[in-house]
Amino acid sequence: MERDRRIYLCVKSLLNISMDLKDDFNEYSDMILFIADRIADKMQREIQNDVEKFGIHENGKIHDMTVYEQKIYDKDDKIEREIDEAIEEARMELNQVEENV
Amino acid sequence: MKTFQFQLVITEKCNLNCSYCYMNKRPKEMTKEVFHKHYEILPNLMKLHGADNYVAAYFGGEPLINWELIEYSVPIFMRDEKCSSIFIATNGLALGPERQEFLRKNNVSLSISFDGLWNDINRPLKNGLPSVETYLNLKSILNMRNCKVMVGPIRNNITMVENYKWFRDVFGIKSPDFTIIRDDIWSDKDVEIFKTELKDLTDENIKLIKEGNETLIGWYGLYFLDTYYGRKFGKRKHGCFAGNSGLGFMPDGKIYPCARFGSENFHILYDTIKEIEYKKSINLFFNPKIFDPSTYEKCNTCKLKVICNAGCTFSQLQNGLKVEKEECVPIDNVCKLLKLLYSETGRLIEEVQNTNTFKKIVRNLLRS
Repeated sequence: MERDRRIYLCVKSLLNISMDLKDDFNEYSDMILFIADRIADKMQREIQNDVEKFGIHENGKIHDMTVYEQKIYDKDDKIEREIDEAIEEARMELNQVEENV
Repeated sequence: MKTFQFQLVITEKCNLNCSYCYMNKRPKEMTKEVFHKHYEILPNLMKLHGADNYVAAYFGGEPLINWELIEYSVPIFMRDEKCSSIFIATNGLALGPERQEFLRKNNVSLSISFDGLWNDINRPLKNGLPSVETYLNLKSILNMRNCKVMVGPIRNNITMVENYKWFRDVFGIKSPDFTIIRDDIWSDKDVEIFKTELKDLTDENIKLIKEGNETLIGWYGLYFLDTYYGRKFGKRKHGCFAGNSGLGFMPDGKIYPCARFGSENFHILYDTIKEIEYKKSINLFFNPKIFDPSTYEKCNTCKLKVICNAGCTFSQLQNGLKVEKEECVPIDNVCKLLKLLYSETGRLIEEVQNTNTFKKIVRNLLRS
C-alpha cells in the first residue's frame, strides 16, 4: 500500500505540474506522459531520484529538459517496436479464427 | 509471485434487482468481527496460493450498503504493505460526493456496473421501477469512466450499437467495458443475433478509429491483449481467480472459491468461525482441470487454445456436472461468443492496423 500511495502522490504532483503549465501544457505534454509512463511501470523510485537530480520541483518548474527529451526518444523507439510487434502478432493469430460458429 | 484477490463480500443485499445477478441476496452483512476473522487468515491463504501481495476487492450485493465496514477497513488496508490496491465493484447509486471524496483520498478504485439503455430491463431498481432515469440524474456527480456493461441475450430491442452511441453521446463514455455474460443462458438464436449486432458494433468502432478517434470498446482491447500476450508468452495458468489466485470471503465467516460459489453454497473451503477446513474442496481447486483452461479437454482442438481463457469457473463446473464430471467443461454457446469476439477483434485490427490512431490506442493498451 505504501508503494501505491507513493505512486498516487507522484500522479498528484504531475497533475499539479500540468495545471500550473496551463497554456504551455502541449509543449511539455510528451515529458509529462513520459513521467506518467514511468509511474505506470512502477518505477516511482527512479522518478523521485530524477526529480531530485534534474530539478522537477513540487512547485511545477521543470529545469533540465534535455535529459528527459533524450529519454523520451530512446523509450519511444522501443515502444514503437513493441506496438508494431503487438499489432502484427495479434493480426496473424486472429487471421486464423473462423468467423462461422 | 502472484497477486491474491481478497474478495470481500461485505453484504449480499442490493438496491437493484438485476435479471442476471447470481447472488442470492441473503440479508446478512459482514461485521467488523467477521472481517477480522478473514483478515487474520489471509496471510496463510496467500502463502498457500503462492502470493506475496493482495488486492482488497469489495463485492456484494451492493457493497456500498455496508459503508460502515468500508470506512472501517480501508485505513487498515492502507497501512498494510502487502495490500497493493483497493477496489470496489458497485452500481454507484449510493456514491454521494462525501463517499467519493473518501475513496479518492484513499486511492480506492471503482468499477461501476451500468448497462446504459438496457438498464431499465436488466437492472431495475429493487422496487421494480426502471433505473436509467436515476442514473441520468446522477450524471453530474458520478464519474462513470470505468463503466462495466454486461451484455446478455436480453437487450429489449436496443442493439449494441444503439446502446454504445447512447453511452458516447449522453454520458460521454467513449470506451465502455462491454463484457458478455458467460453463463448457459444463450440460445442458438441469441448467438446469431449477437453475431449480427457485434459486426455492426465493430464497424462503428472501425469507423471511429479511421476518423481519428482514440476509441476502443473494452472487449476488443481485452482480446487484442490476450492474443498478443498469449502468443508471445503463453496464456496465464488460470481462467479466472476463483479458488486459485483468490477467494470469496462471505459475510457469515465462510470462505469459498469466489462470491458466486459462496452465494450458492457450492464448495465451501473454510469456516473461520468454527475453524473448519474442507480439505476435499480445497484439494479440488488445486487440480488444473478446474483452474487451468489449457488442460480442458474440450479446448484441445480449438484454434483459440493458446490465447483464450475460457469462461466462468462456476458455470463450467456446473456444466461438467451435467455430464457427471467434476471438472470444468466450457459451455458451447459461450465458446461460440468468444470465437465471434476474437474473430471481430481480428477484423478490426486488419482494417485499422496502419492508422496512427490505432497505434496510439495500442500504446495505451500496452501501458495499461
